[in-house]
Formats: sequence, structure tokens, C-alpha cells
Amino acid sequence: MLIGAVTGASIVTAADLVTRLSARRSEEAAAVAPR
Amino acid sequence: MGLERSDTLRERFELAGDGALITAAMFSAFTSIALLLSAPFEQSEVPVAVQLMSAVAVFVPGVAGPVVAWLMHGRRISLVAVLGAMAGVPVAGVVLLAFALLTFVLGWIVSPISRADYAGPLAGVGLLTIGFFVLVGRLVIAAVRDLASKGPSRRALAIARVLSAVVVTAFSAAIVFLAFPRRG
Repeated sequence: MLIGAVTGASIVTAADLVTRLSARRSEEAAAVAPR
Repeated sequence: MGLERSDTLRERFELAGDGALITAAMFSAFTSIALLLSAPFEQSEVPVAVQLMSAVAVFVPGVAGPVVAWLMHGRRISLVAVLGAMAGVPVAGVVLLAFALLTFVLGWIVSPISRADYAGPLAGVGLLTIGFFVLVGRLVIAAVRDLASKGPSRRALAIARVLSAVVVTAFSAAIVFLAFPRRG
């Protein structure tokens, strides 16, 4: 059960982190792109 | 700005907490079913089908739990999210390895009280269990608040949290009861 808890928390936290980083990169790329 | 940041932190904490709680609850439920199915075969060899089901019982919650928590927080399953989730698996391995090493340190700390080989791991599992149930308590309090005040958008998540908390508590109580049977 505790192994499941650690695994579940790690997976969603990593997915959240990567998604946020990707979204920030996209925003930055959009901001510097020539209009 | 500050309020927005604290809301983001709270959302991150709750997402990680729900990932832990829902995965642990699914793991508990599947393990209970696997144990109940294999119980009649205590004296003989367990059939391959039941052994396969036991293997599935370990694997399925590890995938389904995080997916359910992710969707219940209103997130979309994108390629980036899947890649991130896959990166989370070795992270969990590293965390568990660090925990195993920590139990050696705990064994050394508790050595004046008990020199038994299992003292360190027992202390480690005890501390982790306390931490987990503190987290579960905080999530359930937030769920009760959501059920009392907010609209239907968070209702499903709140109900899933309370149900998961009941499952992990019942599973833990059953394990303690089986591990320390009453004598006499």
C-alpha cells in the first residue's frame, strides 16, 4: 500500500512538472516569435 | 499574486496527495481480492490463473491510480503528460531506494532500544505510515470542506477521496489485525 502511495505521488508529480514546464516553454516561444 | 501562488501550491499538493491516496486505495482493494482468492489454496499450490491475477493486482493500480487522480483534477492526458508520468516511475524507485537506506540509519538510531534486524525497517514503515495517514487526514478534511461549500465540480473528487480513505484505513486495520492476532 505504501509503495503504491509513493509510486502514485511520484507519477502524478512528474507528469504535472513536465506538463507545466512544457506549457511555460510554449508560452515563452510564443512571446518571442515574430508577429 | 501571492494568493494565486498559494492556490497553485495547494493544487500541486492535492494532486500529489490524491495520486498517492487513490493509488494506495486501488492497491489495497486489488491486494485484498488477490489474497482472498488465494486463501483457499493455503495448503496446496495456487493455480496459475490466481497467480496471474495477483501479478495484475500489483500492476493495474500503479497505472490506474495516477490516471484516475489526474483526470479527477481536470487534467488532460496528453503525450507530454504521459512522458512525464513515465519519468515518475524511476523517480519512485529512487525514493523507495532512499527510504530503504534510511531504514538502516533508523536501525542504528533505535539500536539502544532494540537490536533486532527488523527494528530499522519497522521504525521506517511506522514513520511512513504515520506520514501517509496525516496526508490522508488533510485530504479528507479538504474533501469535507469541498462537499459542504463548493459546487458539483469538486464533488466527485471529494467522494473519491473519502472512499479511498475508508479503503486504506480498513486495509491497514485488517493487516494489523492479521499481523498481531489476539491470543488466548
